Amino acid sequence: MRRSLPTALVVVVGLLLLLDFVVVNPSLAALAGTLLEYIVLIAAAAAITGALALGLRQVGLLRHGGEARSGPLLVLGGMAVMLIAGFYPGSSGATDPAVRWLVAALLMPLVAALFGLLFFFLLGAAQRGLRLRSRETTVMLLAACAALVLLLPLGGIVGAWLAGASSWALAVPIGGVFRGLLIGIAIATAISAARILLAVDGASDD
Amino acid sequence: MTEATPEGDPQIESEVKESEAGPMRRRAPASLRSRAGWPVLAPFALLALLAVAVVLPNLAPPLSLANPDRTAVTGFRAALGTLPDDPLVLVAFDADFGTYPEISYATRSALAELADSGASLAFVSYSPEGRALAAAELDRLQRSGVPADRLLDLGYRSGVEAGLVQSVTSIVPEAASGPLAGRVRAQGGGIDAFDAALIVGGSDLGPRIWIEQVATRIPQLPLVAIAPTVLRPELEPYLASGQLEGLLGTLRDGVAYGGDNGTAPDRPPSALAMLLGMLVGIGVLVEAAGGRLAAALSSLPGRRR
Amino acid sequence: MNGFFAGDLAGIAGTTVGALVTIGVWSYLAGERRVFGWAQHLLAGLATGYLVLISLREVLIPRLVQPLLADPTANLVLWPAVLLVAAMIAARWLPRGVVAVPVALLIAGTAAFALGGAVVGTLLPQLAASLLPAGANPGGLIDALVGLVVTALVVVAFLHGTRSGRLGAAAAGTGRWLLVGGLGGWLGFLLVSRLALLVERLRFILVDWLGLGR
Repeated sequence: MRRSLPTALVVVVGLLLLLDFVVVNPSLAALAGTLLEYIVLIAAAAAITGALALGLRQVGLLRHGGEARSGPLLVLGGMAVMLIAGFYPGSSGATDPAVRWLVAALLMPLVAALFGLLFFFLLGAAQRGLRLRSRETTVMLLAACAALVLLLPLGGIVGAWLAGASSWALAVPIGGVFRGLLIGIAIATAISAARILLAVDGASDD
Repeated sequence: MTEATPEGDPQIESEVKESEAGPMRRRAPASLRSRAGWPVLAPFALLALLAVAVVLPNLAPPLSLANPDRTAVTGFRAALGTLPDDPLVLVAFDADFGTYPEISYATRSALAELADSGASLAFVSYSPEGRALAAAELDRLQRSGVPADRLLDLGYRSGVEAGLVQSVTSIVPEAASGPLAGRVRAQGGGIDAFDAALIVGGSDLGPRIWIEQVATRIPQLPLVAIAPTVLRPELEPYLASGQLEGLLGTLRDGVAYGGDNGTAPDRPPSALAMLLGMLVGIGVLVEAAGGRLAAALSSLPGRRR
Repeated sequence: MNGFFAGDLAGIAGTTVGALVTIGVWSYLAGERRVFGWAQHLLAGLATGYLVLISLREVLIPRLVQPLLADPTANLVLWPAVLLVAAMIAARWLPRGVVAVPVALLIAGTAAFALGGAVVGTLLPQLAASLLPAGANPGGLIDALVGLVVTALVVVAFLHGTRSGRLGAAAAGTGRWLLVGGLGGWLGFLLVSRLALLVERLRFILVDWLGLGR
């Protein structure tokens, strides 16, 4: 296993942050606070790194691309419009009316419309999944069907009964399944994180 | 029981090829074309049906989008009811664009109720989408008449869990000014300066991360959440264990809450449209799963004879 | 989205643009790929631009650039951060060994918080909550018992690599079917969630934009 400075950094910084979680010590807290500040700043820088990579890729496509130039132009145009709205002299950034207008008139409707389409796609995927893996998918779809019935927006006696049954299903069988899932995921997460922090399998090696 | 396998089925092979080609290279989703009971016009017929239902007023009393079981609403209101006078509430706004329309009714009702009760609200976000929505909601609250000195914009914090953990001890930006920012600084400047946190979830950075990173460091802070229906099953164990003190986790609970407190600024979604859409969904699933189930039952050894 | 626009000209324009964008995305249902593709590209550009905007204006400028410009000697602890941030931003052009340092800090933070949060925030409280409640009525006790059995079987299925013997295999198999059923229930919730969005979008177009049924 290759040991290197990044691996050592992962181990030392990770264990220090973990220690700060379980031990109350002002010096340790100050050191952990500084490291946290670095991580927060690096995370913001990572967002810019990603945007740079996307922007450069689109510029490359524009230069060498053939007919399909509308896509890169829209990506770059979208980025430019948002940045101009957020950085023009006197702009207040994310709270600026121009930015808020772009978000409410373009960003939100785009994503919400895509998510709305998912209702059709989910139903289509359910049908296709049935052909690929029938027994599990049949059980899954019947359970989905039962959940849909329990969530029907009905009033009166039937609605009250369905609502009660829905609450019970959420609390007992579905709640039990998801508690088991959460416990399983927590165990898996803890093991993976511990292996990284102890550099057991060189996951963080350079 | 004989199980269908992908191999050798030309229909499935063509679907796999289509899915490998990616959505951009397809004309339309395979399921929407005239196969397997999904004629090409079905989505448009459903859209038309829903459109009529949306425009029509809610006709019949048997329809009720508000959940008749008020357990969630009572729990949510009880959690907020324990707040002291002139409470300071942190609104952790990390909804996403895709699911916010579903929880906007409940969120706006809760914000209106808190504002009416004299609470001061500080907004913070740990996701970009949450930040955009928080800025829009802050503007809406100011336009609706909530005094500016009772609202505080704490902005966006990067770093996901790291940003959240940092906020435990320091949440007010250097540039923040005003009486509310001063009040938070005077009480320590971190999340524990607040009387409660209302988590508006939807993205990955939702109530679960708050429970894992904040509740473990400030166990006395009451956490209440508003989340889309899709997160409801995942959050049930946290609600049952008491780690989450209140949760509005379905559209029906949100509508019940907004209808009960009478402060909902919007009209609730159409119950008729939801009912029709759900019935169509049930129909499609029953047709799909029921057909497979019937085929499986008929192929049982006893039935073959 | 309704509620985010005032009744002025910008609000009317915003509502119109939002409605047209929605119709453009939904044109995919009719097999119209081009408009859908444009919408996807525009979304990527706007979202990336917004991410850069808030990362710069709400994090890097106020917390790194401004303090150092205001008093470079009073914030010595921020100078290493300048190097780390520069290494991250210029990752494309720097040697891998240099970029690995800020990345290592990110990994360390993620792993440490994931470990602490998973164990103290989820694992221990959920194990405790699985136990049967003392003093519960018979109905509550039966529910708790059913929940406990379901949870235990799902955990066994989840950790199936550690099972041993026929009993363990049978438990893991049962747990797997419960898991499939639970995920099916979740699919039902997911469908309702997506349907609510579809209905909201329709309401936006018909009521907020076209003014029908107000």
